[in-house]
Amino acid sequence: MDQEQLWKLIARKLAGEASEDELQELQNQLCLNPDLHYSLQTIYDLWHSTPANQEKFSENAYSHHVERMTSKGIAFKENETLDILPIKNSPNGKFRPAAWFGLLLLVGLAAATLFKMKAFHPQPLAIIKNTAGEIVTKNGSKTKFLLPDGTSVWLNAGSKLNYDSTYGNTIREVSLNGEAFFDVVKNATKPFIIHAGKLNIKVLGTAFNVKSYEGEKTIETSLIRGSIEVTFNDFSSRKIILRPNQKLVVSNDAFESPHEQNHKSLRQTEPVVTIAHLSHLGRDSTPVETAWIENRLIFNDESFMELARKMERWYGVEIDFNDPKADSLHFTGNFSKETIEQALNALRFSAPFKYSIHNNQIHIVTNQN
Amino acid sequence: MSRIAASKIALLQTRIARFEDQQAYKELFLMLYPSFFSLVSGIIKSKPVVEEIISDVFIKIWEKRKELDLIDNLKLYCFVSAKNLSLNYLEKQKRSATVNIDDFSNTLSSLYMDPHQLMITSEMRDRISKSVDELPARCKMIFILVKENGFKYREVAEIMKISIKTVENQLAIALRKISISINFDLSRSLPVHLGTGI
Repeated sequence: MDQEQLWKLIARKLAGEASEDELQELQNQLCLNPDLHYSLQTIYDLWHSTPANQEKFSENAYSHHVERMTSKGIAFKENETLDILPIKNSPNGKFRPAAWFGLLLLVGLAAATLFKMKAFHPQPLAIIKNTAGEIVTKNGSKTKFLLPDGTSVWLNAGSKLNYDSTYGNTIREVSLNGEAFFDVVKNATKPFIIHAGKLNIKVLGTAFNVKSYEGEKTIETSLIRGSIEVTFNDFSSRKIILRPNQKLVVSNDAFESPHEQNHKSLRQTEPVVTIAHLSHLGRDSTPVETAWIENRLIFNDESFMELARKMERWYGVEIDFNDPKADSLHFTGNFSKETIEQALNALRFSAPFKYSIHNNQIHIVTNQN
Repeated sequence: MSRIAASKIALLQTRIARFEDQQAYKELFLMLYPSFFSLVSGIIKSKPVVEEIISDVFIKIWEKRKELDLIDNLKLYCFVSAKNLSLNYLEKQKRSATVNIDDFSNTLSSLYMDPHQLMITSEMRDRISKSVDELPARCKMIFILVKENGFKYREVAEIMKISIKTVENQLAIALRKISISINFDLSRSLPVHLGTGI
């Protein structure tokens, strides 16, 4: 399909003129044109954004109009006009009274607030404002919770999120060690900022993933929707803005072998940064980077040790190897409901190794040939 | 036009026609005023005249209130009426034979964008605004009529006295131009060593 045709299709969709078939065709075309996704998303948002509240403007005009009518001798004696508000476009971002009531009720009910959650809660708990909080997950468990402003956070296994009592006063600031997925409530006046290792992530948009585990070589942040601005602790002039479906990978300076550190000169080196597209495996549309939210562990050509680390967090176990050369083995696949044993057995189909398991300790033995 | 908006207007229409309901008349005015203002301002530069023209349209609505129910598509009817009154006014001013809608540069006051609501930077917002402002007059008018007022292609064609195909083409052109300006802006905001292409 040529570009002209494609844009007519997009126009028809926005104008509400597209048939079911045309909508389907548009979907197909969009898969073939990933470059358009960001600008299209912005255009769709732009298209549906409501204009600023022009009530006052229109009310004034109405009074002039009525004056003009009466001065022209047109019979229009204005009755007592009731100020009912049935037909009004409510501006985005303002709460209607019913919604406020609901919010207050929720906060009232959350009198007993858990700060250390261990199990996976399907229902997010509301958290009372003006107290500091630290949410920690152990290996083998994940959790979801709400920050005081209603922002949702899914915290992956082995992770920790901190915020202090001033959260939401002027800015909304949190620190993360581990992995979390954020769905940030829009608030133009109070930026949402995440400190993860040496990255500072300022949120302009909504849904994205941050992975910053101590002891890992890299810090990653993946953007699903909206837009985020990333800055560095040591290079405050450097600013990177991510588009949806992109991921930023930064090398984690703390993770350096002693050998490397000796050679480090006094001048600060710039962090090594890569921006890549989020990886989608096959026809599945869930990006690999956020599959953990949907309770799936997906791995794509990963070395055994990297995979082992992920499995440690996922299952809450410890895995060690008798031979570091096992790292040369690579695996691709995904786990969801398998037990650790089922998972290990599945891996054994594609690579020669044995394992022993005792309590939560797993020992991997690779054949030395 | 969205079905909700269309049925609201239909309801108000009926209240005005059957009961001479002044509250409904006021609500109709408040509901339509911003978009009328935007449309007429595109043609007439003087604000008091713009208000007068819109006022004349609404006077007509009141004077014909008993037959209002007979009008099928009130919003469209009003738009056509407002447009005609505007052009008549201009003709009287210029004493020229015909005046073409292409001759005008619209003031696009109706394109409101909140950067945070749209999750874009303010630079991006300015760039989008600029690209919309720079659209050719007719193209821009079509864009406003569809986006801001929810008119269908057929209705826009009637207001502007052009073919439906033209409406479709022009809207596609407008969207594509906006998209280009968004991508252009983005490609300048990534000062990194790129490992892979974007």
